[in-house]
Amino acid sequence: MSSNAAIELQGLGKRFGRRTAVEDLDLTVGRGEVFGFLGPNGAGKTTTMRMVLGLVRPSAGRLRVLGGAIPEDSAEVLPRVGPLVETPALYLHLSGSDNLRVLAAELGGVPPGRIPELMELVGLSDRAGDRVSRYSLGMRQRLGLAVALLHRPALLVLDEPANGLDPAGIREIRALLRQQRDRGTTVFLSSHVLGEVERVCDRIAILRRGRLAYTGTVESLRGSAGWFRVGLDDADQALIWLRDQPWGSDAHLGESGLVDVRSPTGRGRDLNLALAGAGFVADSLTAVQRDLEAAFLELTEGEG
Amino acid sequence: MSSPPAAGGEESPTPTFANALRAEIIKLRSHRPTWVLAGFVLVLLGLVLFALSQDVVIRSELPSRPLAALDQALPAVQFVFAAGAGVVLLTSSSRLVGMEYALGTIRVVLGRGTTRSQLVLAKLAAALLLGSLLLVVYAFLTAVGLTLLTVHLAGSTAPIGVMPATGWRQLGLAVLSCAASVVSCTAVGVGVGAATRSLTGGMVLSILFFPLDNALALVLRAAYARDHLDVLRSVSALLLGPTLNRLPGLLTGQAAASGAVLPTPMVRLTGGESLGVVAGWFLVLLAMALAVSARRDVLA
Ligand SMILES: Nc1ncnc2c1ncn2[C@@H]1O[C@H](COP(=O)(O)OP(=O)(O)OP(=O)(O)O)[C@@H](O)[C@H]1O
Ligand SMILES: [Mg+2]
Repeated sequence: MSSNAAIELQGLGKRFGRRTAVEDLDLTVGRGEVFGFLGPNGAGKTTTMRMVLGLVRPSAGRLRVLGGAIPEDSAEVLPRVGPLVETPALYLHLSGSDNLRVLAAELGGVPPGRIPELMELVGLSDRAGDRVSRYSLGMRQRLGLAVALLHRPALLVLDEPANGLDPAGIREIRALLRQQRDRGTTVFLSSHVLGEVERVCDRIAILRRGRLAYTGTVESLRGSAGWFRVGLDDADQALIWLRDQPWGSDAHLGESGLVDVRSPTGRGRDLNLALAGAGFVADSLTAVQRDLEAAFLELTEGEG
Repeated sequence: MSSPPAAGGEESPTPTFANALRAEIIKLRSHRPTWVLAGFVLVLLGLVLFALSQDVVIRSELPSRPLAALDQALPAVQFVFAAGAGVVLLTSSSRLVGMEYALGTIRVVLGRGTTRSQLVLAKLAAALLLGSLLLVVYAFLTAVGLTLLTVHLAGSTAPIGVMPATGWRQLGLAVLSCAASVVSCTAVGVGVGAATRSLTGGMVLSILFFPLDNALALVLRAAYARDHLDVLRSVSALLLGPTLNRLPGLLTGQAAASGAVLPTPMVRLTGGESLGVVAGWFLVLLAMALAVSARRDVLA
């Protein structure tokens, strides 16, 4: 395994009794990447993150984090990881600042000036002295982020960090993640907010029922289906012919009389050739970028 | 979210036992109900001291025979500590463990490299520190109270000056048996907390631990009266609560208040053997807490 990766999962699996939560997962997150981890509810994202943090023991496979094996090297590796798993876990009877103080004590070596600085960073300065039990959901989420950032980790493991945040908060997270990336921090991020993932992630992985359904860039996921929008004079005739082709069965009339169809090979020129060969000359032919949501749903819905 | 923190990943924080202990002390220190309960124990001590000042035996013996007065006073003072500090320590130590699971903070603590055994040991140590603090404060206030009582009844501190050496030895042993309670309650709280991984469940079970094992001693006694099986007697000697009930009397040779009302083992062990039973329980509970924390998945 290359030590250049921040996270490497090999054949990772986890079963809870007879239920398989994660199965045969191979995944590499490079250092410095902002990596999106997607999947429907129950796909196994949180379980995978818990395994990365040494909280849950894998039933199968191996995992390395920042060059060390988990759980064997947890004591050396995990102090360089900043976790935010599911809802932020906080000491409710303590103030926001005291929560950071307790965790700073736990780690050692966090300069005291860091705490007000972080409260400022997550926009909680004026509530720093209030008990966390009186914080709103979004405020807790913000404090959870501050907890994750407390010791300037080399790797952030963030499970749905935008959960409960207002629009401004979501934008702030986006800025924060970019800032972290600029500092060289690796971010392993799960989220259901596809628009956010699209904006901040270099690469994504999509889980489906515990198995990997896709890894790669958002761009190639959106382009990967090879859909084209074609302008044809005799669209109705062309549609009849297209639907008879093994690769064109889901062709349909799209916006403003244009025909939406897949290319037989995924490339525009081959679609053009096929159409011309059948006597339909295209006026125009453009690749259709599907939106991420459609691509995501296509990958994660249906039988499996 | 404004000014960015400086460059990332260059610090290497190191979670150690000492750091974990520091964090546990902060968690404990800031928990108000623990201190309210502890304050209540001191109020009880005040009431006991007041009752002792009204006690006929003490009023008559103290000026001339301080040892007899001490024998009269110590059992009640000790019993209040064992029961009162016991409740404080059982609840606070089980809470210290169960809280992390109830709040989910366990995943933040372990997810950054504090090891599971470091965490258990730090919690145990923090609770033991609390117990020691309670014991020191309680002993100090008892000393102050008894001195004032002496001055009040005898007109001076002279009876303390003429107290025979055995009196001082008894005081020392009384502190020792209180320390045995501290150690036992702390271990029970941490052990039950680690096993249940629950805040209320852990606290309720910890509180029930001693009533249950005292009840078991009574059951064993009844069963022995019927069947005369020697094994029942031996088992009763291994129970923690009954051992602690008898310990003050065994160590000091007085009639301990707790031993007079509460169940005791059917076998008469020496003071040293009884301390051995307490140490055994401590080690078993600690090993259990470490073992159940070590491998189980953290799903809180
Ligand atoms: N403690 C547990 N016992 C049994 N099954 C569990 C446990 N924890 C998780 N699972 C199962 O593992 C699967 C994956 O759960 P996980 O929480 O990892 O999903 P997720 O991708 O994080 O979902 P979400 O988007 O809802 O957060 C689910 O089927 C879940 O029911
Ligand atoms: Mg989840």
